[in-house]
Amino acid sequence: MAVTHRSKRFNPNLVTEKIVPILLILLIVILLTVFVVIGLSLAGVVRPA
Amino acid sequence: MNFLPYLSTIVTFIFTVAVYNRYRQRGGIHLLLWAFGLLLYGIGTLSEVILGITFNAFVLKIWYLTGAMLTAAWLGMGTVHLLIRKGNAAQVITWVLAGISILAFILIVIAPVTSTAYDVTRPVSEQYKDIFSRNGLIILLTILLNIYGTLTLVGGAIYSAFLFWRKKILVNRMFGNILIAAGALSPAMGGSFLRAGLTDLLYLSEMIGAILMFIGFLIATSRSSEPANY
Repeated sequence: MAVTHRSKRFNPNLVTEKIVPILLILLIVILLTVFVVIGLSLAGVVRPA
Repeated sequence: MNFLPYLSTIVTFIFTVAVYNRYRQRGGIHLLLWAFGLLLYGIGTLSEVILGITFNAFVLKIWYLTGAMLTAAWLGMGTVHLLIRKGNAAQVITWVLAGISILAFILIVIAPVTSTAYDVTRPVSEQYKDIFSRNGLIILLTILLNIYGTLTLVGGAIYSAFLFWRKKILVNRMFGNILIAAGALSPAMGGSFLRAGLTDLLYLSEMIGAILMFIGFLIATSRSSEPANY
């Protein structure tokens, strides 16, 4: 039995409307932070203890 | 915290089998590449288990090759195949990555190791720089492979989650991708902590990463997500 496109849709609620975008932005910020730390360590600003 | 690699290894190998079984059922080169990347992940954590018991120069090299160099890149390669369906760009990048992986293997095999200072009670991540001589090319490849792998794996999962959120479809795959992105970020953060001198957080970040990605995969492939590419 095929699953129609309509049946795959979900109803927006607080979690999907507000929290999910915040989570996605947070993940992007963490991703960028990881690259900044790598960049800083390569530049010699952050040195291993 | 030396029990953490045991948990990471068990979770990762179960995860590998689950992804490979899905590949056998549904096909899709991305699933095969993810399974391969997870196998490398598991070999890396298994090496940590062995290096927590005894020192072996070959195992140390395998740990560095799989955990530090290849895992993220091959997992990210799977995501590239999932997201880039047109043309043969994904295939070309795969062959380039295969060539770089062979080069990395040769460089790691010939790199000198001294075992005199190794202490099995301390994490390998805390000691490898003192006993494993990495030349400039190994360090450069490590950085480039990790940037490529993290960007494609995490970026791809965030992008997929965003698409499902914007279209308001397949809520399971949306949340699954968020967890996969968070899980993939965890060892990447552990690697950054390592660079900043916080060496003992790597094992924890690997375990959290494996668990989050596995839960994300299970959610994304749950029945309500059918038909799915995962």
